[in-house]
Amino acid sequence: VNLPLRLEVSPRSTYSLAALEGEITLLSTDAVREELHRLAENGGLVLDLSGLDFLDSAGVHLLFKTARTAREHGSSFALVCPDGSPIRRVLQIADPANTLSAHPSEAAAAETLAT
Amino acid sequence: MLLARAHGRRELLDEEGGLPLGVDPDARYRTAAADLEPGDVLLLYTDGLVESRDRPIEHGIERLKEAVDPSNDLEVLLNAAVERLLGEEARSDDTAVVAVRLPARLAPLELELPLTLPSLVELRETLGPWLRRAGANEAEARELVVATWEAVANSLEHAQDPSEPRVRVRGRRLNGGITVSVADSGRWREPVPAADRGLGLELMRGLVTELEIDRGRRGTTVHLKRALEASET
Repeated sequence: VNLPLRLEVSPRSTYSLAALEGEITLLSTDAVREELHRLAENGGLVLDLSGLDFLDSAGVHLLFKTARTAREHGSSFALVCPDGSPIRRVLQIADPANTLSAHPSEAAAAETLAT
Repeated sequence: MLLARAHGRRELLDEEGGLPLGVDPDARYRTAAADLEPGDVLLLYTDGLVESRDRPIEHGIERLKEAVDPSNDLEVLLNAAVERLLGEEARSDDTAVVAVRLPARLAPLELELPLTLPSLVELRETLGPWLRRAGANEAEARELVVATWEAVANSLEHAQDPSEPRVRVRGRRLNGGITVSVADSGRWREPVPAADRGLGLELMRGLVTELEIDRGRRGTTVHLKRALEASET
């Protein structure tokens, strides 16, 4: 199976920005699991989901897992998920209380890391 | 009024036209009657669409007949018609166009997939376009695809009869909505809160209007019903 998922990491001054592109599902979570785990252990992490067009429960589960890893290592964690994103509805249903700290822009997400 | 038949013919229903509505309370209008077949598109427009100072109305109507493809999405069809007739031209007249379609008869969806991971991709590629043809808008189709994906993913993990490692997906259009059922030969595992599958069930529930799970001795069938916002039926 060809995995249509890409992960691109850009260092920012106080956190890492990791942009996921494509789809994160049962078929592709294994490809990024370790990298996300490593990032979550190492300081602030903002996961940008703007480039995602498909997300299933396995993908959401990995997001929860990554947030938990960050919490366990004292790293701050937030998501970027813009209003028009095709995966927004899935994220809202899976995480109605927004424990994953999803925000519409990187700036808004980064702001929550600082506080 | 132009009637664009699904099989290709174009028919004009009112060659004479009439006064704009509301101008004269005593104005009389002729009625026109035609039987619509599934897939036919009726186009209603003001003269601003087909007539201009430098072009006689006959040319405009001929162009319109060519520009309208009844197999297109109504939005695409309307854009193509307006683009073809008005283009960049500055218009001196305002224009209104309405397109109405009697939906084409839609064959129900019948899919039988092996219980393997690539089946999920095949499911999405088949179900998505079928849902759009069934009248679901982009978001509705996407959400129903995710819900069905979750049901199939669950079968993948828990279907238990190795003599029949397949899952059957059926789609039906029903009174302004769509029902998709996913049937396997396994036993549904009771969702454990906070585990992967519990989340899958939560997604299914949140993405459809009605969720029903039949746990039979021979397998599990998940029924996903979703009402459509702007059903064409």
